[in-house]
Order: sequence, then C-alpha cells, then structure tokens
Amino acid sequence: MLYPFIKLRLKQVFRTIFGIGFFRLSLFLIFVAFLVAGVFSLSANHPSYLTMATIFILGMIQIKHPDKIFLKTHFRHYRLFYLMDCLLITAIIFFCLLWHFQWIDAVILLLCCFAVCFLEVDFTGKTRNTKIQDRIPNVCFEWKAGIRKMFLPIMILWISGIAGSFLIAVVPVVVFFLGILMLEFYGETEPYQFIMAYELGIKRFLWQKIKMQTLLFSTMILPLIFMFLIFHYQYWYIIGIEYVVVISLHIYIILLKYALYVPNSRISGAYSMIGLLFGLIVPIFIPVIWGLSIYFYFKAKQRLNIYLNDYD
Amino acid sequence: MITINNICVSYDIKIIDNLSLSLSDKEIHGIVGLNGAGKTTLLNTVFGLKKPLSGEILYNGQKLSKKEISYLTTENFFYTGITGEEYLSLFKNKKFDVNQWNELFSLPLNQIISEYSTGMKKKLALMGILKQNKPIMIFDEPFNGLDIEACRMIRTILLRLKEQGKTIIITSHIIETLTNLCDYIHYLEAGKIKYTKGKNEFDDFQQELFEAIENKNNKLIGNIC
Repeated sequence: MLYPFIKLRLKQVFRTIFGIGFFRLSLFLIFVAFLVAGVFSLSANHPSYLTMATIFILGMIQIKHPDKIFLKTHFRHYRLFYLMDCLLITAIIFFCLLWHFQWIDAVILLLCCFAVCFLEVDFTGKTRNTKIQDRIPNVCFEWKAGIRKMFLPIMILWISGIAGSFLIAVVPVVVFFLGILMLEFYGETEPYQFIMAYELGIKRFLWQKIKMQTLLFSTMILPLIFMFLIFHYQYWYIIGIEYVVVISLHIYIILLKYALYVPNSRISGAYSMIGLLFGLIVPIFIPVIWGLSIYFYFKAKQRLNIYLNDYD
Repeated sequence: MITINNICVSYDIKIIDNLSLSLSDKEIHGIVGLNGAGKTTLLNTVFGLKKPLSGEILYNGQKLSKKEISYLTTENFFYTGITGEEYLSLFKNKKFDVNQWNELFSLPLNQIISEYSTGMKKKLALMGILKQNKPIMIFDEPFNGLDIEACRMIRTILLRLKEQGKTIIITSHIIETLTNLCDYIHYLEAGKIKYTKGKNEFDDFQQELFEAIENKNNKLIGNIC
C-alpha cells in the first residue's frame, strides 16, 4: 500500500511542477538548485537552525494536511502515510545532514518526523474568536480568517521572536516565517460578492488590499523590529532589506490572487512557491518579483473587470 | 422598469436566444422553466456576470449597473474561517440593524460560517442581500434547503420588500411558490420567454403547464414500461 502512495505523491508533485509552464518550470528548477545549495551549506554550518526550521514546517504541514480525513477513513495505519509524507519532504535535508556527519540533528529530525505523525491539532474548522479579530478592519476578512486558523503558530513565533530577540538570527527568522504564513492568508479566493461589497473601482480595490496588508503586517512585526534594533542596531539594514522583500512578496501574492481569480477556489501552490523561492529564499532576485507583480497587476485588472466595471 | 432587448448569451452553445422582456418596477417577477432552460444564465446576465453577445439591458432607459442590483445565488459560498457577523460587516449599510434582523433569523453570528447548516447559510446570504438594500433584488432558487418556517418567513420578507418599492426577480422550480408570491410569471423555454402571465391567469397557466408535462411524461413513460 505504501509504494502506490509514494508513487501518487510523486505524481502530484510532478503534476504541480509541470502545470506551471516551461518558462516558469526552468526558473523553478534553477531556484530549487539554489534552495538545495542553501540547505547543503546550512546543514554544514548551522544544522540546528535547519533542523528547527524543518520541524516547524513539518508541524505546519501536519496541522493543515489536506488528506487527513481521507487517510483516516480509508486506512487503519494512516499514520504510516503521514510518516511517508514527512520522510519525503525531509529526504534532502536528511541527506545533507548525514553528508556532514550531523548525527544528532539527523536523529532529532527523524524523531520529530515520528512525533509529528501524532500531532492531531486542527484549528481550521473551529470558531476561535480573540480580541485580535475585533481590532482588524472589517474589510480584511483574509486576516480575520487567517489569524483564526493560524493563531497558535503565529503567537508562538511572535513570542519566540520577542523572547529571543537578543540573538541576532531570531528576529529575521521569525519575520521570515511570519511572512510565509501571511502568504497562506491569500491562498483561498473569496466569492465575487465579497469583492463587490467593497464598491470600489479596480485600481482602488487593489490598492486597498495592498495598503491594508502592508499596514497590518507592519503593525504585527513592529515590536519585533523594535527589539531587533535595540539589540543589534548596527545591523539595521538586515531587517530593513527583509522587510522590503517580505512586503514585495505580499504585494506579489495579492496581485497574483486577483490575476488568476476564480471565485471560491484556491490559487495554484506552484505560483506561490515561485514567489517564495524568488523572494524569500533568494532575495537578490526580488526585481523579478517586482516585474511579475507589474505583469500580474494588469492581469488582475482584466480579471476583475467583470465584477467591478460599474464602480470605476 | 428593466428592459431586456434581444439578448443572446452563449457558453459554447446558445443558452439565451434573442430574448426580450420588460420587468415593471415595484413588482415581483417569477422566472420559471425546466432544468437547463436558461434561468440562471438569464439572471447572471441581468446581474452583469455574463456579457451578452448581442442586445442590451436597461434600467429606466440607462445601462443597468451592478450598483443597483443585489443577487442571491442558488449556492451560497463564503470565505472559510470568518464568522457570520464578519460576513455581514462587509456590506455597507449603517441603517441595517443586524441584531434586530437576527431576532428573526436566529443565526449564531459569532460562529464561523463553516459550522452553519445549509439552511443557515442561505439565511445568512439573505441577510447580506437585505443589508445591501439595492432597488433591484434577484433571488435564484431562494427556497432551496430551507424548512417550511423559513420559506414562509422569506415569502413575507419578499412581500414587504415589494411594498417598500423594490423590484424583485425570483426563480423557483416549485411553481406553487411563485404563483403564491409573484405579480408576473415569465415562462422560459429553450432560451426564450414563451409567455408571460399576470396574477389573474396563474390558475389557468398552472393547470396548462401541469397538463402539458403530464401528457409528455405519460407518453414517454408509456414507451418504457
């Protein structure tokens, strides 16, 4: 049973990758190479950072595992499938850790793969009202829903960021992960009634979305930046550059969402992955993100025209 | 007055074929037709979600704008992870008292919408339409998935909206629902309005329609068993 499952998973991965077209696929492969090189280097110099980041990502994937119900209802040993997923995701990282004889980290990662399979938390389907939602403007439904779905990981990250801000890497790493989590806020498309409820023209609608995202994200990470500047003011440019990169990526994801807008669906993970690779993992390529954002802005204008043409 | 002039709409095949129709103000207009007759396509076109290949739709002589219409679709979609209250807060209307209306609908507005039943989602979508408070209101199968109490309540609300001067367009598969509610019924067949009937003709219309369907069914079923 496991062999067909692995085959199916690989098929899904290949289908997603090839679904993005030849040009983007070439870029994707180049940046996968960069990513692997980054992981390889990190596993030699800072294996514990790599291990911690991988465990966090595995935890997030497990919480949001889309096949959970299917696997639970169809297979008795469904945790074996979870384990397979974890091992497939971490295969390259294991390889890199073992290559550099980082036995302790490799063992910790392996144990965490087992532990993650027993993680049975699901925040997505439950009402979780906090005071934070009240402070978010009504029009930012992505944030209201996003905070509700990811309250715990966001809070853990944010508090860890504040608590560990005396260490130079902590705040940039936390901002990096918060930036990634925010991308997920825009992974789902809303019904067209939501777009029309704004009663704004297309330009003003897109501007409003970008403005609110930037404002809310900046508000959220402001204390982190403040703490970073207190302890490491001489490295202000690190957090400055990271802020620009993350905001650029958020603008990209918003424009991408509306460029490919189909009511009540999800935007392709492959497209967001490209943005992630371009922007966060290889930030020197941020001009490519800016170029793509301009391209998607015009596509978004076309796509939204049918819904907002009467409000211009 | 909404005036639909010779519109043609197509999704690969022609769904609406040279359809013309006048819908008078402050009345309830029912659109009835068999499955696939083009009811939802017609409503989508009136709302502006589908552009007609030809023809035009006017409201009091001007091009009909989305600013003047609200539309309750057959299936109601929401955004996962937001509460009913947050959904309603998207629509701008300070005069609309959500709590007062909710005494009627009894929805758990502080719960996320994915925890709602189908009927509750329909009621929430209806509250959204009411909050928009537009002069033209379109309801595509508003009674689907609702219990008898909710159906009667919606009927009363629609009649009240008509009294307030709204123009209402409604579709339903259940002819009795429309005959009890509408001022006019427009019968759609193969993308065209076959006939329009006023209130005093409803009984004859209903009988004729049922007889025609019965004859057709008897003939077809007689061939099979």
